[in-house]
Amino acid sequence: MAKDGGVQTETEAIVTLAGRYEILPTHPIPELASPGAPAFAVRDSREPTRRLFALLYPKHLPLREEPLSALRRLNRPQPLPPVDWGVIDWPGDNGSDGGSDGGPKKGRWPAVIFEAPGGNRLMPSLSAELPPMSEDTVTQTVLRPVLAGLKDMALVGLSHGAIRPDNLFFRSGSAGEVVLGESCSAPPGFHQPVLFLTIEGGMASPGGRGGGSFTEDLYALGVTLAILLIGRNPMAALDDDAVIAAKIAQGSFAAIAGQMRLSMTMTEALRGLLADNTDIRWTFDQLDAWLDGRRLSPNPPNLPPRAGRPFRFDGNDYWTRPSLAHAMARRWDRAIGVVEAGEVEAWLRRSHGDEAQATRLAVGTSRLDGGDGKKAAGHLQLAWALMALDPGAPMRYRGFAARIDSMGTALAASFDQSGAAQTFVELIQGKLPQAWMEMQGETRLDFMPVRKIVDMLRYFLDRPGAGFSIERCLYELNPGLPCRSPLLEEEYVSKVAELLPALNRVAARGDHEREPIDRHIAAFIAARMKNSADRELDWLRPNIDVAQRRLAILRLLAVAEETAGGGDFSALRAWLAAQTQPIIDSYQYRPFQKSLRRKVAEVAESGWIADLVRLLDSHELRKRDSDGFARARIHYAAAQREVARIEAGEEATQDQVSRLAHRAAAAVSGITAGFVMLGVAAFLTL
Amino acid sequence: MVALLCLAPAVLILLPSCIVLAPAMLPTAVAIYVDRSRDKSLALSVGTLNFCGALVFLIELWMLGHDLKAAFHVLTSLFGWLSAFAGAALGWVIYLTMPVLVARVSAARQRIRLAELRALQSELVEEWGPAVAESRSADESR
Repeated sequence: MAKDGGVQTETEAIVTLAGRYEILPTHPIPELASPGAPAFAVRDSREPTRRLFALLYPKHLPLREEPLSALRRLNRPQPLPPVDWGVIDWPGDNGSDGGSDGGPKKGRWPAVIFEAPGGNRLMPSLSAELPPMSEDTVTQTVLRPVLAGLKDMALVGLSHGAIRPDNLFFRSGSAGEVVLGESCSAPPGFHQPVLFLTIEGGMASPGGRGGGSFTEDLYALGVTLAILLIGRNPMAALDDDAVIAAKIAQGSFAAIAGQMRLSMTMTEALRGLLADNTDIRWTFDQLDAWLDGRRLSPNPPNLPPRAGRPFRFDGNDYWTRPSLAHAMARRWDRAIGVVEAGEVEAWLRRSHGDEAQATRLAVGTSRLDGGDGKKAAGHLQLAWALMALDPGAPMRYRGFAARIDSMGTALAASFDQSGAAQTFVELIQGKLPQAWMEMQGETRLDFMPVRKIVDMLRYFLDRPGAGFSIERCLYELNPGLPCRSPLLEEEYVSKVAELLPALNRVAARGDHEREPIDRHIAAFIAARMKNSADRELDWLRPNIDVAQRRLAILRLLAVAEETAGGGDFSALRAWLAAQTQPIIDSYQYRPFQKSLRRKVAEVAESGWIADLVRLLDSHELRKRDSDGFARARIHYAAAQREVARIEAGEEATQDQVSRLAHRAAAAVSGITAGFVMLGVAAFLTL
Repeated sequence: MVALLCLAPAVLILLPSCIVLAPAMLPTAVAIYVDRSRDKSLALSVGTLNFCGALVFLIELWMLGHDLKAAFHVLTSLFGWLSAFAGAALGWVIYLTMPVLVARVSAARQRIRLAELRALQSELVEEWGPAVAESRSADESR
């Protein structure tokens, strides 16, 4: 990643990336924007003739640096090659309305510079209509170059995940070969309309569509070819549910291209690309062979098996398991009662003869305790039933739908939505990932790491303190996700090393009353430090003494400082110094407190956070202080007892005084008499 | 009894002095009678100074030859009586005024001690904070 960019404020705001790419916030280019990533004009100060544009990537999703690096290393024209990227200071209101959502706010944003395509988008939007392209034109100008690009990406282990007609650009002008648009601004499939996703992919929520694969890219390519051949979206009139239902009922090929007039040759290719069963969906080799003119045996329609009797649900009859599962997932609350009545298990057993899956469902649901009662058990029971009906589909639980390998991105994408986090907690605590794996009916080696991760998530969720819980799950599952602390709203922190500079900028903006670590930052540090911070996090538990908590915060930031390798964090140190008052107050000896305050101020001026920790967190000093305090208390109590005695008159009673006085009188008289007699004796002697 | 028998020759020898001292030490006899305390402080206070005052009689007696005639002559001395009774009175005054004096001294001493203790407590609070004044039981209950 390039070095951070700075902002110039002359006649127009310019944000510089990597010292050479001048991003112009006042020059948005909506026609090059990706969904959720507004585009802006870029000048290359070293090569002014170069045609570049910048995309400001969304902050709420993990930055996909690995594919960006791999694509830059690949250095091929397909897809649009990233030139450079980095985090920039966006001027906000000085800038433009760039994005479709009103433009990025002021703050730090990840920006990626791309080579601008020479031509327009192949299709300005999916609702647009174009003149139908001939099969030959589609093959030569779309299929061949895109396939070449996908094969290049496959060489470095990448898939695209965003193939659709409105993400294809003409290499020049408005005709000729096309080039694939960028795909790294979101997880694979995130912005893909359901039409371009496989049946299972379409059932998942945008963040839960998996890590992408070349077979899914080939499916999307098949849909793209079909649209270009017909000149419009053939399923534009249907909503997402209806699209999925149609694909399940007829198969994707029949649902999308069934009504099209195609040559046998093209039909063969589309049938291969749009096969719903990944085992028979065409691969690169088969597509290459087809392009070379070899004819392959056509794929038979591969529809899910029909039941002997339909399942009646919500007024409709369902003959296949995936169609019933999809319908139940869409009408969740109505489906709970049906599942609780055991009808699904009976249907599986009697109408599909699937004794094994029915038994798994029966055994699995009998183990459910529901956590907080019958209602939760009903939700979990339905989730189990959906898995039993359609094991290949994503895990579905209430509004959450994700493939097993993309629970993290699904969580990240929905984290700010009301109730999404709670749904995820219930899903993990209800052991639905384990249930999904169980329902696959086979023990697979690639499930082992998933089981480990799920166990880890349960461990984090069982601990409510800062640094654990749902926030920890979020950062553990999404290694590239920037910290989403409200404190860092204007910042972009995706690595621990970036945290202290960001907090330093926050500190420079004022407000030293708040603690510099909240639940998000604690979880972010813990996840990125690979458990080495867990000991400190223990002190961030709820109801912990505020001094201990502040010390733990200092220690955590000291660890982060070590990772950052130091730097000028004077504003942050001043913030931390202001936060040390409870720690200083936790020492009892006032003169020591005064001296500590002075030393803390000195360290805040120039020093390390670790120095603050050493200064404030000395076991020996604390012991001396507590011993001294204990002694002082004893002295105080003794003095208090004596005062009480004196005040109560116990010290000298009237009787005692009188007795003492009388003895004194006898003594005084005796001594006086003695002196008198000595005087008399002396007088007589003389 | 043995002691009295032993003292009998001394009394016979010092009879003139005893004749003089017997009336002169009358206040002491009264003090001994009045003083019911174990250590007989009143008797000591009055007695010692009463005896000092009675020395005037004794010195005069010894100077006149220490016989019975001189003894009776001495007893007619007004100054002697004044001296003996003034001594006794002084002893009585000391006995009566000493409690007041001692009480005042004691009260002053307590005031000083209280001030010292309060200063110590203030110093402790200043150095260690108000928590130093909290009792351990309060601490434990917290």
